[in-house]
Amino acid sequence: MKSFIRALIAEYHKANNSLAMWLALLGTSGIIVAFLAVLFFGTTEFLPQADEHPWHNFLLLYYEATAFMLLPLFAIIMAALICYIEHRYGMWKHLFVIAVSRTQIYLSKLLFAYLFIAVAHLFFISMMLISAAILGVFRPELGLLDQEPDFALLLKLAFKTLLSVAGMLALQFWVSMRFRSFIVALGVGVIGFVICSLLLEWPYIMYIPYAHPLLYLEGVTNAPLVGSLEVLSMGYFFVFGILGVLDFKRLQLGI
Amino acid sequence: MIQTRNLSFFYRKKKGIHQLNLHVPRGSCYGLLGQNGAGKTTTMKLLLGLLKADEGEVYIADQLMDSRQLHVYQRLGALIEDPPLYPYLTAYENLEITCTYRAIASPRIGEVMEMVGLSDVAQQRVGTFSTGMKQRLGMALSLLPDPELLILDEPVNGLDPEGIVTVRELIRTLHQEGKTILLSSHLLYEVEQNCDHVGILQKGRLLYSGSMDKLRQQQALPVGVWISTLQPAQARQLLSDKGYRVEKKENRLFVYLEDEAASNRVIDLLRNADIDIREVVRPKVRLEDLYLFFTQKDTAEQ
Repeated sequence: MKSFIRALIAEYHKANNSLAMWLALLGTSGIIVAFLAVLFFGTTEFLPQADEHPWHNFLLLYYEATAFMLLPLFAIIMAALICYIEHRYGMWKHLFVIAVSRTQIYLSKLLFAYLFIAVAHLFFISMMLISAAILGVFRPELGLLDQEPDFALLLKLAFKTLLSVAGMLALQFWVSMRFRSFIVALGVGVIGFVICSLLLEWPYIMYIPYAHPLLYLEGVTNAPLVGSLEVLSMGYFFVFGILGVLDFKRLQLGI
Repeated sequence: MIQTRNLSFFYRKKKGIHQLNLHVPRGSCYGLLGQNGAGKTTTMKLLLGLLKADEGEVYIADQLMDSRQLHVYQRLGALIEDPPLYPYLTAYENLEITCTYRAIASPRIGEVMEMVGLSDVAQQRVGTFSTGMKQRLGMALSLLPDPELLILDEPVNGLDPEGIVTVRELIRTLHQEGKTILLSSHLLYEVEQNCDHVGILQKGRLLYSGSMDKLRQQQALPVGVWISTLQPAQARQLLSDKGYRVEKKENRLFVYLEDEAASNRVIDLLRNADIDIREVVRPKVRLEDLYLFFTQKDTAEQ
């Protein structure tokens, strides 16, 4: 267990100043700023209804806009980047001879990728709350400063977001580990995601992990915290995690 | 320290490594010599478990090498091909990552930086480093666990003359400290300078493996001396008249002798005849000659 924690800390050191870190910081900030601009200059379309909690509209707007495309794309890119730094800089031959098991190397990286997305999501929430405060000052008619944020809904959205992305992340992580090329890893993810977005009406779409981020917001306000989609996503996370480890243990380095 | 038994590896259905029986004694500095493509890196990857052998076994410190035997890796440091470094991090941060994985205390970072002569640039980003500096930092990575066994693939590749001298001295120091070192090179001079044992690899086959001294003894050279003089024709005539067999090669005379002590008699003869002697050199077996002998013999036999 100690060596697994050490491997996880090592992943944290690697992420410092990496492209993944800058992309997460700048990408998230960029999205928030873009939303802020839209809401700032928007007309009455974002105004809450008389009987509506002013934060509902605001939170769902942010989540619906990001979940449909940006969230899956973010997970795909992060998985690819975290694996790519090892491929790109020829690190496997080093990591395989430092007395840490391949299982621990793989799982620490996968868990780190997941935690990385979770931290990026926390950053997204913080930025979203700051942007709400700014909007509340300049557009008081949105009513964002009249009531406390709906933290229950926010937590539910955040929780379901992270659960829904887990299965897709584990599959995408395996693909990224398997193929040296960043383009291949990215391509597989984008194709999976695009196919799912075209097949949203298909009755079995829920069984494809790439579709989970596209589906989890349906009726989210009344849905349970952990529904069948989230359970399925976590199931995929473990299945693809285990398959990835087994494959990684067989990996031979090129001659 | 390292022992392989009939180690074979197939590459695209062809045999890449042929029944390798390598023996690297504990405390030795073993040079694996071979041209590019001879199989040096593949051999090292097989030894480290980075590639799975199709036949045979590898033993390190008397333990069967298997990628699952993690404790074996605790005793070794390795640098294979290009140094594994994250260019967006500093030299210190790169070493810190390996320290974290291996549970090594951070003061060791300063020690290995000092050993490879990179203390001044510890906080510099690796992306700004020259090839030679990266190679030295790669060596520092392999030295972090203070290993008993060091496996270095072409350690002076891409280094400038100053870097070559630093790495050569470092290898010599580590060897003197009692570490076992296996290094591969296509540079005969480097192996001759650093190693007391040598393996000659050609097309995946080990043509020779053993101590450098034994290798030299195997190649018995004719007993004699090289003599440089300003009067080579006179000297040759004199020695021939006295019954010595003399050959002229590149402005020098090679005088065949019955035994090495006879060289004094030859020198006396020449001095008494007022022949000016510039230089007397005993023939030395060069690794280059031995390498060519083995590889050319093998090519001829095939």
